[in-house]
Amino acid sequence: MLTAFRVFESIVLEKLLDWASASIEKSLNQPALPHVIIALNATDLKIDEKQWDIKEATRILMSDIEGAISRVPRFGEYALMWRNAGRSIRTTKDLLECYYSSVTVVRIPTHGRYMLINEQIGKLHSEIRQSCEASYWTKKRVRMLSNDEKLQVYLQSAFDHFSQNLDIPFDFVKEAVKNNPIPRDFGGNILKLAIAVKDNNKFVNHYDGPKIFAELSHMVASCLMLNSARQSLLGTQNRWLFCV
Amino acid sequence: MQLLDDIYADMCDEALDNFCNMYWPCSFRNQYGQCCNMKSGHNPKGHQNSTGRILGAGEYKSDFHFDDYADEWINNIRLELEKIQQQVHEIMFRHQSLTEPDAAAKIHRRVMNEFYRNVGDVFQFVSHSTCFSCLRELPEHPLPCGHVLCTPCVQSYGRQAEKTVMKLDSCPLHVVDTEFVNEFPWKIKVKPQYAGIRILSLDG
Repeated sequence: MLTAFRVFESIVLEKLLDWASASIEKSLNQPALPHVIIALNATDLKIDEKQWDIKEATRILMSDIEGAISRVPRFGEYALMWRNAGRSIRTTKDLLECYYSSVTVVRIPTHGRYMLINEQIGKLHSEIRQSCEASYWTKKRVRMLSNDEKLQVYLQSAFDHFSQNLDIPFDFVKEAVKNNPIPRDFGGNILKLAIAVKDNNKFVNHYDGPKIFAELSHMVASCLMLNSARQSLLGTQNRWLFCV
Repeated sequence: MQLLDDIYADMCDEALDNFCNMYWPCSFRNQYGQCCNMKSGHNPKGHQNSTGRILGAGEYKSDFHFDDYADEWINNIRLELEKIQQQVHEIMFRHQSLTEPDAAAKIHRRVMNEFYRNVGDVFQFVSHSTCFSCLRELPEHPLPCGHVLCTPCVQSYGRQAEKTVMKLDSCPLHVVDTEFVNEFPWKIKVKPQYAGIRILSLDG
């Protein structure tokens, strides 16, 4: 067992952290972080029975590598960076969770107990499904969910972006706005004017949301009046006045 | 007001909601810079500056939220609308010949001029996809000052010079700046109402 987690620490963990830290500062407004599922293949059949349980396997591996952030200087640097940013990093798991939504360990046994293999593969499969679902809901909640077609567009534009410049981060929200242009209805037009006011206002406090919308309310109300008059909705005047 | 509640309140809400989620950056800042993540994409990583650098941990921070402000927003529009209606009525009462659209346009121009004067440099407010005069139609007619108007706005604020030519004495977004400058009155050709658009293609 000891050798197994040492190997994990020096090979797998390093890859997981190096990749994540290289990528994390290369995007803005990323709606969800990836989940990590570690499948430990060809696990010795003699290990403790309870290790076949995902929760238990995860807990044990995480506690084995708990101190890696103080053992491996490179991991220590990553931890320090996050501590400077104000996050409390006590264990390696804390560090992993800065880069990933969740970390799960599934053990797959070596040959011999085929029913057990089948069972563990089933657990792996359901873990993947649950992680996908969690990401789905996270993205849906912030309205950044993309379907198959749109995901392709994201991949394409991320490729275009990084093939031109490796240092400027990819902005997910900007991309979302580009793919879903503001609708050409009254609501969309208010939004466009609001954005223009946000970018060009000369208020004392440039980022004063309530002030922006307080000013806008005059303009919007007047536009409503103008539009309803233009469409000469018969009886509108009375309707508007008396239905207050 | 019924009309506002029926149709427009939802659109106004939607505009505010979208604005808060996708266009209003987090207000966190420290010695490394200003967080530039929006609400929609803030959470997993925390505060990042425009180069992507992680500035600090924590939730999206802002003192401007949809839930807090939505009621006030709609309420403000409602109050303004009442006031403007009143003004339109008064002006129609005083000038009996004025039709409702003309009266509304007159009041609108005043409100709009004040609005653009208050928010900033009117020359920065240029859109080629929205008529920034009425917020409803597609802009089609560029003016020498850079603003682009839709046909109904040209008809509201211009005068008929010839059968299919309108003349604008000033740009309705900023009358004072444009009233007596050389380029104005500006001539705009409009398509006659009953003329269709044809393309003559000579192939060969």
